[in-house]
Amino acid sequence: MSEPGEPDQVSDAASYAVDGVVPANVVRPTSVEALSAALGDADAAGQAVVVQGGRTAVGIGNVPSRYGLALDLSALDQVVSLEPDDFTITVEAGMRVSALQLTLAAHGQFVPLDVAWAEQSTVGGLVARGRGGMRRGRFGSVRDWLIGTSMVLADGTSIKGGGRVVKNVSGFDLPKLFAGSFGTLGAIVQATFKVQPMPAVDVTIVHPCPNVQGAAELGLSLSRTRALDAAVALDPTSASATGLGDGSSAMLALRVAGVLEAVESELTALQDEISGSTPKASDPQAWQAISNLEASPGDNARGLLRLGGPVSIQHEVYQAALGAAGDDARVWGYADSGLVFVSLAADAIASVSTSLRERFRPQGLSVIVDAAPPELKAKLDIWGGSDEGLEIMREIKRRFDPKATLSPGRFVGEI
Amino acid sequence: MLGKRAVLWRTEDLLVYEYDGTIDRGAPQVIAFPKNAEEVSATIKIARRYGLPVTPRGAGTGLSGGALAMRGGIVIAMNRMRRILEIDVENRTALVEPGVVNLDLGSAAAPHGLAYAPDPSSQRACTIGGNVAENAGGPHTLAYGTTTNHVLGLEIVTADGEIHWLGGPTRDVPGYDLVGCVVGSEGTICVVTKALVRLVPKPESVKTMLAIFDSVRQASSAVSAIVSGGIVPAALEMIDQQTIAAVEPVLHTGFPLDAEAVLIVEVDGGEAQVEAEAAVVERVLRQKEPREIRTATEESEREKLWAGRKGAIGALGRIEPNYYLLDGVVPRTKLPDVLDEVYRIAERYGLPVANVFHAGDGNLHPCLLFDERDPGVTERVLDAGAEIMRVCVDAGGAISGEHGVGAEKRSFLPWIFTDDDMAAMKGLRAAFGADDDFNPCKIFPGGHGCGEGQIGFQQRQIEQFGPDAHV
Repeated sequence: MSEPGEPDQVSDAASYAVDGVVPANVVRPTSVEALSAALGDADAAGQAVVVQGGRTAVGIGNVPSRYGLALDLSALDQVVSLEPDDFTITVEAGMRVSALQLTLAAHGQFVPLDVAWAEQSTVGGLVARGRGGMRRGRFGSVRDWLIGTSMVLADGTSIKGGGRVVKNVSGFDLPKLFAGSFGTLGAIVQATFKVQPMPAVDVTIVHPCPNVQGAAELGLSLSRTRALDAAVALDPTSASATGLGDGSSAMLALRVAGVLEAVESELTALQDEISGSTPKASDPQAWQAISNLEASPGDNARGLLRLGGPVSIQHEVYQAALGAAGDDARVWGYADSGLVFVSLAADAIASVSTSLRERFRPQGLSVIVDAAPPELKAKLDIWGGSDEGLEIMREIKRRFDPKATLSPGRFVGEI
Repeated sequence: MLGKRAVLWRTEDLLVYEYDGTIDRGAPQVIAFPKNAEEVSATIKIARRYGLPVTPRGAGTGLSGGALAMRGGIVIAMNRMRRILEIDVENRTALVEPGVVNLDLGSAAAPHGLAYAPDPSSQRACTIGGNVAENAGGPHTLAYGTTTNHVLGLEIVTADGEIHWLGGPTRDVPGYDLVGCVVGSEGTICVVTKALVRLVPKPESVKTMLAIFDSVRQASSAVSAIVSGGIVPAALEMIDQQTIAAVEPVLHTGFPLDAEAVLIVEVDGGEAQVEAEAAVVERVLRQKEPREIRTATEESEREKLWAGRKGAIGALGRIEPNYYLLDGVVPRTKLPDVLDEVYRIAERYGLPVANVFHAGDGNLHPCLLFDERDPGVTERVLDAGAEIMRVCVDAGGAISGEHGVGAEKRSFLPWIFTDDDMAAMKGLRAAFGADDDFNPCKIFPGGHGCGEGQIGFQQRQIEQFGPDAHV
């Protein structure tokens, strides 16, 4: 055991590889001061740093152009402040998302954010990704629940933004800037969330459909009239992988939660529209399994595309993705918020991502290559963003991380 | 270039743009009324050529001095950019120009069964552009969030006159969340020329309750109890006796004049949900021993309650001609203690104080009432305001919940942020190309030519009730 404040020197650098690039050094600080010192030193020495936690999403992005130091935040995993009566919680970035939820559950609360591999994934990683999951149609994404953050900039300077109150326009909203910045602006060391009371009742309904695009269409139309927490369309393979089907048909999985009377009334209304489906008490493991489809940590053999567009084009996106991605592709998505995932063979990533971008760019479809074999990445456009706002983003990067120390080259426009 | 009718420069025309309902003043030399992003860009470029500061302005209802031209120059007013360009029913979004009045967007969405969730009390006057600048809230932010939760994309003009699109139809656009950076930046980063906003389905059912209390402390502790009861109401508002005294004789909302405080609690959603949640709210309220709980059964009764709430600030003019609105936020559980302290401070300074605020969010709005013609009173008001702000900060809170720091509260920013925090924020602003000539003397203390501490000690009398008085 090292003394508090002393960084743990971890010898096994290979296990900190990012896209096959192995860092020269690894530091796992046990205090923010130690983290700040390690980061500041690396910056001064011109050593590139990849900040990481549970490493479930560290593969997202371009191959790092340089990588000298792995900064592992997983030892910073404490609750800083738990205020159940104020419905807020502040935790260190290295805390596992599942631990955050367990801490809150003891008080009948939760953060309505879903993340793949919640038992490994850290809060810092959740914020750095900044995304919403299967319940985002109802609850939004990380940015909508994050009310404050503390960060350490590349030169070791500690800063913060936001606060611990649920409503705040005091100074610029730095938490929004850092949510979804993929570790390119600073190390997120603390996060404060507003939280929700847990619903009294949480029910799952699984409904077989002829195909995944049909499941998505039905899910979308139900979500327009009913109060749903989630409406997930799964192709037969994904349905069986999550334990929600036997692989013989596509599935629509609905989640309905709230006070008992409200849930009962929703279920009655839903029964009229999807007769024959049996509601059952929600199975958290099945929902986590659906989230887990979003990432395969440590396995980059296949490609994963994340397609986000307006719901009005969702059906066409499914059709186009299914048509282009080949027979062994898996396709699923969150039907009420227009998010579609495609898991496909590595050699299909380039052509499928390009054709989807070309076809749906005018309607605002974003196509992000979330996973790909590292050796292919150099030839792929991982983020696929337009140039809109890119100069401003580059200038932000220059001001927050002037030496391009943090995850250099990995983000949009090779930021 | 914009045409003669699109520019004001005569002293008498400029006068009205010196005010925004705060104590501060700022007199522009010119007001420009561009009608699109290109004209905003051209105006900004002219200003730069002549070294004139630029200040964007919506309806001027922000109440923190955000729309004031603190160092003169050109005010870019959004009055001619007030078209709703598209309501996309399928995707539940609307594309609007910044001068669109908040309530007009709501009215345009309503026939489609949709609503624009942020509903500031000034919604009959305030504009979407101003709402974006201040990250405006309103009574229904408790369940629905503030403006930032509802803006997906923005067309902006930067301080060097460049036009950009930020964000897009979904939150999936890769890159930094520049939309999130601009919302709430109080018009100090760029001028917003279009906004793509989310619309939400109108709830199937709504129930509004009025709980009448004989003590402020009982009422404020009921606020925490309701939320701890496992229900997040759509709105949870508190109105104290001083406010009732101003509102009731004018708006006849049925708030008892002898009540110490009333709470307005609203739940919405599906019918079964509303019935069940209303029952929970009522049970929790009863434990706090209110004098009476009334439930609005008719839509007209609901509207009356909300008219009383939203017209409250305007009605304060009945008591004293001027008010100074504070916008502190505290953790909800600190409300009872902080409110006690607010009353003590006001009493010590000999100032009447009216509290009407978003209790569920912990967002206080103490309004210090005064008559600017009384010698020395403005200084006392500002001192008392500073003390109240300090109490909020000491309770773990913030100095603004929805009105912005503006010109008025900027000297308090160092109470919550370090020099490094503020340097990072200024770096963000600079990355957008904004310099000290772009909406100067806002948010951050200091600044060239800002005349720290030289706040104009005058405020125009509120001429009539309702938020329109401040336009």
